[in-house]
Amino acid sequence: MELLPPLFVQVAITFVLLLAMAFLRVKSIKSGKVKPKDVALGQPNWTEKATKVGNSYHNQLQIPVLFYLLIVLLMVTNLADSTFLYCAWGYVGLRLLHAIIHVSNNNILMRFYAFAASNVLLMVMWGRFGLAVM
Amino acid sequence: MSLITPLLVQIALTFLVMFTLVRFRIVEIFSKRVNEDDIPLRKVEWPEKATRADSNFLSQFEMPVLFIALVILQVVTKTDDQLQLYLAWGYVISRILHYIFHIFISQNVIRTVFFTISSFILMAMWVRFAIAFYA
Repeated sequence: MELLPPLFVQVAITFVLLLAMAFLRVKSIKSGKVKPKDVALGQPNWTEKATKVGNSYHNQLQIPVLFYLLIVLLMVTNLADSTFLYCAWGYVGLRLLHAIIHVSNNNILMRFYAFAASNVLLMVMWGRFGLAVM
Repeated sequence: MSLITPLLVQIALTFLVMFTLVRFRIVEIFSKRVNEDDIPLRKVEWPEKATRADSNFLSQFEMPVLFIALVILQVVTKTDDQLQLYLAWGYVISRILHYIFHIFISQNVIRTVFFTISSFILMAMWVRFAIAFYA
């Protein structure tokens, strides 16, 4: 149960990005900058801001899914401890940093370091879980 | 009835979308309208229905993942209740309507309305779960 707060934060990041994406997309359609027929089949024709936020939103539903799965498994197997909790907060913190870079200046190198660090941390968590169950 | 039942319907929907996508693509492949070698390179201009089915299929692995995670967490922590079950049904039904209006009745505005409804329902479910956890 103690691992749920970082998971809630990761879910909140996802919903905030979804709302921001929806807001920016509706705005770009209403202002006439984007024509519905140019995006209705998933073509990459949204405004730059809506695209950045949309990319970051979709990114939240890729690797973080393995984070949710790990948290569930740690809860079910009663293997959660304070090290996993610190790692989970670290993971979510890095994901938040990654999302902020993504939607602001979108510096690719900075974004990559935040992304890579979060994934290494998640791999370490999975490795530690793997060792604990073996 | 537990939250598992609407979850099973969401899983069934995912497979249904997969079959829909395969059906729309197989017709093109068998009729030789597309060059098979182009498919793995994503160079094929699929017809609109197949493109719509593809988008909808991919969308089943976006927000619904948070629905699946929520159901598992609520079952494991035994924090589900009657209202959460109604919300889960509301979520799955709006996802089904989203599927229908995405592929078969090409109404982008109506499809987006159902997507928005489903997203707000899911958000409400997560907030209720967090409240139950902190209470």
